[in-house]
Amino acid sequence: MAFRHIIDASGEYIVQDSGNDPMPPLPEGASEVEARPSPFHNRVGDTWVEDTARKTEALSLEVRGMRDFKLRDEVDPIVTNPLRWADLTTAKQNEWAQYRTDLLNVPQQAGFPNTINWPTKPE
Amino acid sequence: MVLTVTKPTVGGSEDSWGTTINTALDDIVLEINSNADGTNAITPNLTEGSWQISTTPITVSAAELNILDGATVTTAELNILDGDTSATSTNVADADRVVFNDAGTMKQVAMSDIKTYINASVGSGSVTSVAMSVPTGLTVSGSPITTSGTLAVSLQSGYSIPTTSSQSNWNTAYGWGDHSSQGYVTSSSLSSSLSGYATTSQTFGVSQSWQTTSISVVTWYQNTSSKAQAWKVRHNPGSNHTVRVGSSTSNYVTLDMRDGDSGEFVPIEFIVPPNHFFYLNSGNSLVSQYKLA
Repeated sequence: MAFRHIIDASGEYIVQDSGNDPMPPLPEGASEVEARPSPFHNRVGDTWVEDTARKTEALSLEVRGMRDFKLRDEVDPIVTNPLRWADLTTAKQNEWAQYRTDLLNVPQQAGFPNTINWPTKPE
Repeated sequence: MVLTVTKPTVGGSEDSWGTTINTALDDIVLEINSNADGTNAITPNLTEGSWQISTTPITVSAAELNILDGATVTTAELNILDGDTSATSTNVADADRVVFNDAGTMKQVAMSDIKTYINASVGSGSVTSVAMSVPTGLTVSGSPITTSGTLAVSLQSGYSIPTTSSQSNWNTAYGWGDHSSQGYVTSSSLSSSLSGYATTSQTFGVSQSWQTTSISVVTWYQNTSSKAQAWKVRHNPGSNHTVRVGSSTSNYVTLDMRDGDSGEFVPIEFIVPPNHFFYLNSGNSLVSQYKLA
């Protein structure tokens, strides 16, 4: 695969993928640049500069999304179903309740959003 | 003078012998003494080649020797005329002289005379105009040869000088021979008629295979290959997962990655035609991504 990283005439960062074909001529007004280190880097002058605030925000969204997914996909089917919930022992109900609480408290973890200690789902 | 003596007469008396010998001796003594005190000059009559210095015959003639009569030349000066190559730096002044052959007569000539002659013959200001001819395709403006300025050479309209790279390409094409008889496509109408039709090699899926990739979110990608690409990507669970696909970064459609009925996030598959762009609009990283290309 042949990739070329450019800044086009409008200032947009574009990764060109020519597959198995030769790379076409550089578009008019575009300039070739080194690959952007991450989606959170902005072009400042001739270098890439990381936008740490945007990176933290994006990471927070990702962790919260995963947390929400676990609540919706793992917890809700148990705790919102009266029949399934009634079948659980009191100890197991406490495990699920604690698991739900731990998930809700993920954003309050000290390492959030960079380092997450995901709680263990009850058996 | 010519010295002559009288010899005694054989058979003569002793007196006559004595008298004759004494007279001859007196004449000899007188002659020698008169030459020695400078009263008379010795005038030997030397013949060229018959007299010697240290066994070397002297062959110079009297006329040739007389050429040096009055000469004050030094040995060093003669050696310079003999081709001495050593040079002495000097500041040439008007009063300095050079040895000069004036129509066969050797003279000393003042540098001021030579300067006057050179100025009169080659002096500035005698050139009034100089033309410059150039090959077809070039043009000249200005003729400042007698003054300061710019003599400009430029290309005529319709002419250009190819770069080394262009010339190399031309030479390569020239080496292919007569293009008109080689079957090369030369008409634009042919390419127009083919517009919109894919060749076999451009057919989607032909010679393409699925492969894993490692692209980033929030980044525009452009398919610059001659074939369409098929993509299948899946995000981590989250929100605002969409894919933009379009002919430019400002002209695109947005594909939602959420299932319309359940609201769950699903892997999305999309096609990116040649020269089209796509963009994964999400703050989340990708769980998996595959490309048919």
